[in-house]
Amino acid sequence: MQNEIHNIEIILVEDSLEDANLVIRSLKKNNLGNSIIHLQDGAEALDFIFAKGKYVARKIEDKPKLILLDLKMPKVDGLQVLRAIKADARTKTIPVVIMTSSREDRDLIESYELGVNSYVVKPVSFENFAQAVAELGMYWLMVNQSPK
Amino acid sequence: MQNMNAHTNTDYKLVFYTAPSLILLIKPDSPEFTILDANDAYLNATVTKRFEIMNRGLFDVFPDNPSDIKADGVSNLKRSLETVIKSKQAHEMPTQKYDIQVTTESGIIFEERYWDVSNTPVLNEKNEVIYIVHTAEDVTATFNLENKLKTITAEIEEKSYLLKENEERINAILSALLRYTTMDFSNKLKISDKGDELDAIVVGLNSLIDELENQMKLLKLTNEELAYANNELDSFSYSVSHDLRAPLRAINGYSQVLMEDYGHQLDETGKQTIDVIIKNAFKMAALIDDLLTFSRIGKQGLTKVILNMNTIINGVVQEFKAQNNTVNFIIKPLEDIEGDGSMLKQVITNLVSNAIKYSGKKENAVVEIGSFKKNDTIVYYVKDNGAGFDMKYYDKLFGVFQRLHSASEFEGTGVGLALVQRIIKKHHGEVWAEAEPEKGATFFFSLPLKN
Repeated sequence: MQNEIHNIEIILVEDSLEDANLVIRSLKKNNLGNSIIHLQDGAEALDFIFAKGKYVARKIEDKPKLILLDLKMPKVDGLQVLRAIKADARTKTIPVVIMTSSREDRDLIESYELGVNSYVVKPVSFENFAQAVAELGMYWLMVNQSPK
Repeated sequence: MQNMNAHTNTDYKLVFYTAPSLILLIKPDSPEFTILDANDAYLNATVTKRFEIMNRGLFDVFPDNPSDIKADGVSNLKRSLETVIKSKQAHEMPTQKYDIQVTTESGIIFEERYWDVSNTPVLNEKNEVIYIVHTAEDVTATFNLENKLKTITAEIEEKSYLLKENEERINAILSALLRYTTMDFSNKLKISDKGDELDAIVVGLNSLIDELENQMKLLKLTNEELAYANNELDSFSYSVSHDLRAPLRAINGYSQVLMEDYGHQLDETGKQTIDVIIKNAFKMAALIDDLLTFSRIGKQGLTKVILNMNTIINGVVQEFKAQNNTVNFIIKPLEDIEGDGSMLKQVITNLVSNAIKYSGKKENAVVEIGSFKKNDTIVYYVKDNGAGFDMKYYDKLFGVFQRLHSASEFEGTGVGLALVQRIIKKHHGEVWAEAEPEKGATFFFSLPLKN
């Protein structure tokens, strides 16, 4: 799965392997995890999204349906990634959902100012968490219509 | 004389003696100036007798007052007389101090006198001065009055100058005070060389300002330290909320995964063990949440508006009723108050939630909410007939993480009442409680009517 870089539907940017696996598990349970890629920090996310570095073989126009973005990550944090995506005409139409552990007002406000499409606080309860991920995936992949 | 046939010499002498002016007839025999005659008025005024002074030198009869070292009567009069002899014209002297001798019980003393004197020559056909007519007027009373007036005028001038000066100093103090109210201490008042009450005020004021400046410096330092500590706390709680929650979610999630994927391989004890792990992870999450709320409330400023407490409390109670319908609520009409709506809603929520929690196990659980005026405050109370508590543990009631019941009896993190106290203190109000074990508890909080 990690080797596949084309026709990606969901980009999951998450430094915690544990959280990432729980997200992928929930998506897969709902048959939404077939073309997902997990990237472990903001720098890698930027390389992938803008087809640079080891992802130079990608095409930027090959847009995912959803980016799930953690906020607190080493090197480049979620807000920086969000800013880069929303500042670039080629990527700014990609739906970005922030998934974070903390509900901090300043993060929430800045995210919305940067043009985030949704902001989700990860519940501690696994059931709620799994449900939230499933609903998110369902909504953005099945219900929502994004420009091509 | 030949023309005055109608009158005798004696008549003239009589006229001379009774004339109201003070007249002395002097021989121009400088330097003796022999007294030839004096009229009655003169003798009265100088307290002398004719036989005592006749044919004696003028200055022998009227010497200077020896106890007045500045006495210049003799020399000035002598000069005037010399001038008359020389110029053959009358000479008027400016008012002259010339003390006279009087006999009292304690002997002869000099009395202070002021005179207006004029000396007039009497000339013969050869244009020679044969007499000098010396007339004098005792102006002592007028002179003294004038002097007194001068002294008083001078005193008034000095006083009004002082008054004006003091007025200026008071104005300087007032404008300094005005400046001080704007916290501008740049121009300190200076003390004068007078050392009077105004100077005492200035000295007092200056030391007060010095003290104030010192305190302000200290306060500024403390504020900077506080701001630093607040920032530290801010980043601390940010890390706590993020970093502590992530592992909890992993504990929770993977326990769940374990249960889902391998539950069939576990016996009951194994499954219970996983339940314990999950439950405790939840508990820790609740603790973190409460702690963060607690620290956030501490930092947050108040947004005060007039609150309809009936609406707020009814809203809170409706939410609880939706979850739990075994408790009966009695809500009395409530007084409105000024305060931060969301914070006071938190207070009500915590108190009502406690009341429900601790009375929920009772058959006829009743929670009563009401308010009353007390002095300058409104007191609100939430009363239940639940488990209550022993008042001897009262001092632990509002402490963070302090609990009066075990978690197995009643769940809780021990933050709720600490949060209530923190919010009410921020509103400059008070929180207190009354309780009895198994009979229930009443929690009161008061809010000031005017802040």
